[in-house]
Amino acid sequence: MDRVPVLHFDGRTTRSERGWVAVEGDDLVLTVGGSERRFPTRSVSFTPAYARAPARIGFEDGATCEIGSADDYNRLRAAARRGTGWAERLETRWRYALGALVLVVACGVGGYVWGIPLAGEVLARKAPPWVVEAIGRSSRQQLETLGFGPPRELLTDEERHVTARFAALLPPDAPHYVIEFRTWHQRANAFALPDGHIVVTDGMEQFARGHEDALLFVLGHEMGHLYYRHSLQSLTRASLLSGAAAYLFGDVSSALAVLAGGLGSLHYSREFETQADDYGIALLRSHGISTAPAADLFDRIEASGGNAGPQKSRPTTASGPHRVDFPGYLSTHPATSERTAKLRSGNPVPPEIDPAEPRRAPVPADPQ
Amino acid sequence: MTSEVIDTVPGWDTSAVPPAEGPKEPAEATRYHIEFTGSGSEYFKIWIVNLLLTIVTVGIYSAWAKVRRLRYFYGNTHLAGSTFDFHGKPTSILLGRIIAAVLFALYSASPRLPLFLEVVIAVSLIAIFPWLFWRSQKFRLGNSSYRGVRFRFMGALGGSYALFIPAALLVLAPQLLFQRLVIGRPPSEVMKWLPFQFLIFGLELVLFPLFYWALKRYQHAYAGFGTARFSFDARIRSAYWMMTKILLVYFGSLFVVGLGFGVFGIVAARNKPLMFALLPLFLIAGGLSLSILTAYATTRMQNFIWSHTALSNQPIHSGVRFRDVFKVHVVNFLGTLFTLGLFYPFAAVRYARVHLHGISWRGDPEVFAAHAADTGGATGSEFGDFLGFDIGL
Repeated sequence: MDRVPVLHFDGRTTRSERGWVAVEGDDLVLTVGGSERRFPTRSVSFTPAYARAPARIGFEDGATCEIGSADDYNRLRAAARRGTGWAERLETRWRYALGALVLVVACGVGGYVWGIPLAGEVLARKAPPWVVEAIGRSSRQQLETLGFGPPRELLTDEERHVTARFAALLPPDAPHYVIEFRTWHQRANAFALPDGHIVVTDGMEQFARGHEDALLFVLGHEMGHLYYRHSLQSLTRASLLSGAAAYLFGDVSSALAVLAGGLGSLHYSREFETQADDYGIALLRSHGISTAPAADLFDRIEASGGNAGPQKSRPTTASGPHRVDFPGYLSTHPATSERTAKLRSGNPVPPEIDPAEPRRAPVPADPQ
Repeated sequence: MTSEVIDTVPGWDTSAVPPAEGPKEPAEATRYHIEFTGSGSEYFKIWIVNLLLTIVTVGIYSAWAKVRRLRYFYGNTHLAGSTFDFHGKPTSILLGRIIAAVLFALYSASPRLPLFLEVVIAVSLIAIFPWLFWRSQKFRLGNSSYRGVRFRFMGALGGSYALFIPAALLVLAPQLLFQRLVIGRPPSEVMKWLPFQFLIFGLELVLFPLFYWALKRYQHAYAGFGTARFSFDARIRSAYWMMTKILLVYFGSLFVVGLGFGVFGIVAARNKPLMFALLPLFLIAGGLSLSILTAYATTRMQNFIWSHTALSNQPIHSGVRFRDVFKVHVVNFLGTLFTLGLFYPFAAVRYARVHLHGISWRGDPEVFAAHAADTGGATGSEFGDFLGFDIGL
């Protein structure tokens, strides 16, 4: 092969010297400063070739040579039978890059839709009881600072009644739970803490007064959160998600990373709420109880403008009662109209009464 | 000037070797500018393949990915006709990352453990951090080379402790203590401790420029290239002056962002649909004001550090302009936002270019000699042994 012009550095000083390199058989011949040296080709290191930067070959004695022309370098590599490594080949052809892009996007989507939820579920199931209890305890300690009164010890008749009815509805595999009735300045809310305590506020009770079935649904919804261990899952999902977002976007902008993590977590949160809704719906309807009263309850709460339903935070509208449907992507819960539609459709239908037939009173047991 | 620095600065590693005898700066020394020739499309291919392989190997390939990335950026940084090179071994980096992961797991788990263990873990982490930092400086510089001659880090381990332990004791420990006292307590109790937090915050503000100056001095004054040495001649008061200006810009941007939130809040209260339509706009505006702060801070800090650094009396100059850096930040932010992150490699290349193009150096690149201990071959196996792992600080 022809000689290739190089810039030689002896590795002991930064002085540059022009020279030549050629491949002869299994050796690389370096001609510089009037002298000629031979190195076995396999002992020479070749750097990957970049588009606008000189490539470099390195010798055992610490010397290096810079080759300015990409053509020269490729000729040299071909003659030395030291082709590009597999990584370099992947990194220099667009078809591999685009293929990699498709796969990475697929992994990203797959990770978000299946991977992180799966990891969350597994971790939540495996969480040792002391972890669950610790989280529950610290959450309960915070309730006081958030304005919640202590759990009431003396229950009203209505409260005892709904507690008993609820207990009767539950399947045997329902997790352990305790219902607490707390005051919260008349605001409506209900939530489940990971250690099994379900909190119902005085505001919620007021909205549900006279509609016990609606309150049953609320309790069922919260039981759904407990059953699926949603608080633990949301903790693990949120951490995994924010870790991934920080890795992907952190170098460019921490604001972007937080935004991505936040929006992603909100979607997960809506997923959980839907799952809890479904649990509550299944629980009630399997006993022939309609969930339509629950839909009315949510509508009432929202129409009154206060914190509506079992939700974490809703900015109150300063200008008075307002039916507002938040765009779904922003809310921790799916839009209320979506939920009430689901609660109203599909309820067990009471047996049809033929208006032609005379109304018969229920037949008591034979008096004989 | 350089010899003064050696005699008066504690922590100098004198086992390093013979006094630098760099040539006197010749009267007509040429000014060489650093040029960066990387391109976004070229780096995109490297980056996407790195990302895929890292995902597929559950992170193990990330060490090889880091080496390939550094070699790309070093190899496209030109000075006086030659480029830089990076020699770090992926296995060392992998080991370092595993160690870092273990330490991080310990740190995350500690709040759940009994208080005694938590304190032991915190103290141990604070105790080994300066050592890890010192090792990573040696690794990074020792594995970087130019024209076959390696850089070196000659700072003593004691210097690293002198730098970090006071900061840990004066600021970090009180801050952690405060957090422990305050978490989970009702607001009334938190209020009681608030003056303490302000005190810590004030201490941070006052001490940060000093810490920053000391950190840069530790990193630059003890750096070497072959047998030559770098020097750092920035004054503490210049650091304070610079940080004060950055702080003012910071407060300015906070004010603007606060104003924006206020406007947003008013709109939100009056007209919800308009609020949602405008929300993306507000978020982008917020990101942009953050860019102003970041661009200003990085420009000032880079110019400050590098214009006060010299190699063997041959001065380095950094003259990056705020408007250039700001433009790069804005385009990068918007580009990454609208491509959901795919713009990242283009952004990285653009950052590198704008920051590197501002640096120039007046001197003779032909006169440097490698340090005796470094000339052991291109593989530098003794480096592999000594610098067993790199935690990448």
